[in-house]
Amino acid sequence: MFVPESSDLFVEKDGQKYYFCSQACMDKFLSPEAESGKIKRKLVVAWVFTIPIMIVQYGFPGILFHNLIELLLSIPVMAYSGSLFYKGAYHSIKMHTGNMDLLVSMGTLTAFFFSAYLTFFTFYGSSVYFDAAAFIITLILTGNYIETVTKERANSSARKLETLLPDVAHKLAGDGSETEIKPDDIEVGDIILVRPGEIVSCDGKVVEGKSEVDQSVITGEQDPVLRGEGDMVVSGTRNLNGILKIRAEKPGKNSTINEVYRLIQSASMGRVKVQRIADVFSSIFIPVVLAVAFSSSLFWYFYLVSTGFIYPWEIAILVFVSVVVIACPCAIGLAGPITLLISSNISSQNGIIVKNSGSFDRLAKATTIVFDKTGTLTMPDPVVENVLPEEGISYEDIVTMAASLEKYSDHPIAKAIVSLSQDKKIKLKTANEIKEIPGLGIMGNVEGKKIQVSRSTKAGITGITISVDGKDMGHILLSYRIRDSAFAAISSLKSMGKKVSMVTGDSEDQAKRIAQTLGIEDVHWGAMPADKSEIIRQYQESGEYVVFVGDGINDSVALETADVGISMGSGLDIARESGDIILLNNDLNHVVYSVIIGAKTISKVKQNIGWAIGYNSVLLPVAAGALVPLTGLYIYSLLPILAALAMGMSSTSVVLNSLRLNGKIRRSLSPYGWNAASKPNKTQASPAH
Amino acid sequence: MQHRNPIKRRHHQLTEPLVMIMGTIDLKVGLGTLRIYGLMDSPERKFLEISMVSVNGPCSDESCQIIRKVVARLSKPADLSRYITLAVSGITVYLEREVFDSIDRGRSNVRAKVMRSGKVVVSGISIIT
Repeated sequence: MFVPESSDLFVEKDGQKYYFCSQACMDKFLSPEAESGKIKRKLVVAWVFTIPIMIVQYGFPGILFHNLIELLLSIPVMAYSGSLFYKGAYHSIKMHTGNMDLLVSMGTLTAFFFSAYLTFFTFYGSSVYFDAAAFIITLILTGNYIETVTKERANSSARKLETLLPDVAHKLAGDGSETEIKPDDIEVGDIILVRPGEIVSCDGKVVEGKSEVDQSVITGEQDPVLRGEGDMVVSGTRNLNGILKIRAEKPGKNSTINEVYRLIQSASMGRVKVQRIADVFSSIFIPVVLAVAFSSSLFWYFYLVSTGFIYPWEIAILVFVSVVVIACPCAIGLAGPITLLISSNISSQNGIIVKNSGSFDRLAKATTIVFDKTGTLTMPDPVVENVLPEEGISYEDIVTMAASLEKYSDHPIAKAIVSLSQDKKIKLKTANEIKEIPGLGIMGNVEGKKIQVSRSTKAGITGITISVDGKDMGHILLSYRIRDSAFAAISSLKSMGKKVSMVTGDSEDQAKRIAQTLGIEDVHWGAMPADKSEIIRQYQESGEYVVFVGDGINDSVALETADVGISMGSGLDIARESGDIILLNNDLNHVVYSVIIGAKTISKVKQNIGWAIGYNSVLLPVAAGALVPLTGLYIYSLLPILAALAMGMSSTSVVLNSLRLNGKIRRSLSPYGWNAASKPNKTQASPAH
Repeated sequence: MQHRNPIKRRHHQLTEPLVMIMGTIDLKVGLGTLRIYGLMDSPERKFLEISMVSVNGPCSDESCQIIRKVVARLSKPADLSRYITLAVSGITVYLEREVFDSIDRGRSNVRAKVMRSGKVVVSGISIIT
């Protein structure tokens, strides 16, 4: 159905406006548990009164006041259990639209009032249809209830996230005293104490303590990571064995866990291309159903009058009731969103965060996967591979000169050199007049000599050159360790028939060396961020569907240009990351998983839409009387109830079919190393050769 | 295949007229195309504006949300800053950025048919947000 923007049925949550077609829809959104409980109560009442109606109708058709007993028994079902549909229908009429509730209400009220008329105004013994009216409500409510329960299952991992945060956090005051506060009340800058076994209640930086932290709920990575002073910890992760004091940086709804939850929930709001068919279908659905219901009803009435049939009104009414009850617009509407929600849930369990579920379409079509090198195929920080002193200069001299300056820098190269000096226990000297020039290097005075550490320009050397008073003293060779998962990921992508490319700003030597090690034939070097985007564009123009895998912050232009951007997230700042998909655990096998999940999701959406449209296309003519030439008019003694049964189960079958996506994805991913227990491969590093 | 410094740089041409025959205009819109029928049938039809509006979305249980839809009319938009302008043989087509991006990223082959009444029917586009 369609919801006018002027509708008063909307809520504002986290800055976004949500519109609803009915009060029931809005209640379900605001409080799914309460709504589920309400359906359950109405369902119990419906069954309690419907079963006696069926017994009276079919077990004791000749008893005295038969019709009146059925009327009295059906009143609670109609008035209490059916009120859910009437409310929805009322809102629908008020907004000059149509929805499922309207169809159900029209069907059941027609059957009920027609039967009431027969009960009071016709001779004893005429057939009444209280059983159909009550059974329609009972079966559709049953279907709604099963659908609600299965949908809760579909959204289980997101729900788990929502309930993960602790009820209280321990805030430390300046004097060291501790107070218990709610996680929502944490403010930026608060110092929070996290004891062993406790869940971290907000994102923040460790200011004191060291402990292993289980981040599996966010990244899917089962092995704990060590976190100490200066490291970030994120909400929802579990502190395992030490005491941590953290300074809150992103509390409450800005925290990582809330962001992940929000993204999973918004996945169902995304739209894939194939849903366009469903949109067109559902926009004309209600008017078409009503037209079919009225025209077929009139057709049978006049046809039966012309043949001299004695109950033309009864059949015409039953045709109308069957058509409006069997039609199921919800199955069409649900087909896309429920699949996207389940897919997003499965992905998030393993640290794959889908920011834009509309990208599944393009992911399913991906032909070329372009990887950024540094920080993606390789670890982001370099390691020292070798030290090459010039003649007459010692190894220690080179390291001392370089590290004495680099200790003042935060650059990853500087950290690698200082780390080397610490490993070799080399004592550093005091430096002054330090000057760091971004992109070039660092210079300063050490014991009266002017020392410069700069990027090496010597052919064949990837690293830095150390010079004293303008004269080269030696070189430190650096390399980036290739992620272990890169080998398997590239091999898997190739086996799936995808083309793999690498793009880097590094030198030709370095680029070719890494590409050769990984078995990548198509490689681009010397590319600045803007060039990466241009390279992607050229692939696209040659007809390729490009997935770019890169750094979520530095490669944002390339990530936006690609058909699908997959960013290697830090796991700390999802909102800032560009791209359609974020890998929280930096395991490159997850690129393979994402491509497969995309293809399976789109296939399932198509299957669901096909099923839902097929269901309505086949059963509407049946309800309108297409089978009467074969079965005779007798079919209408059962058709309204069968219609309710079919309608009640149609949405549920879409949800159940979507739930099968879980197993399908696991089976498809298992050859590529996906662990059935959602335990991803470990991400380690090995040196490039 | 190995490439030296970023493969030959060239200005990426976002839009270019391809063919103009029998009253139809074919435009390249990023990676997609836009074919316009009937715009040249009348000399006063010089502008075509294609933009997005929020419309009522299909209700799927709890997700009865407003969705974005493409609309087109024979007019010149008041605020040109949100539009990409394509001028072809005296005819100007204004594409709202979101429309442009959707045609481009979706690689859609979009058709816009200008009816005799002046109504414009756009088909073949999926909104990509």
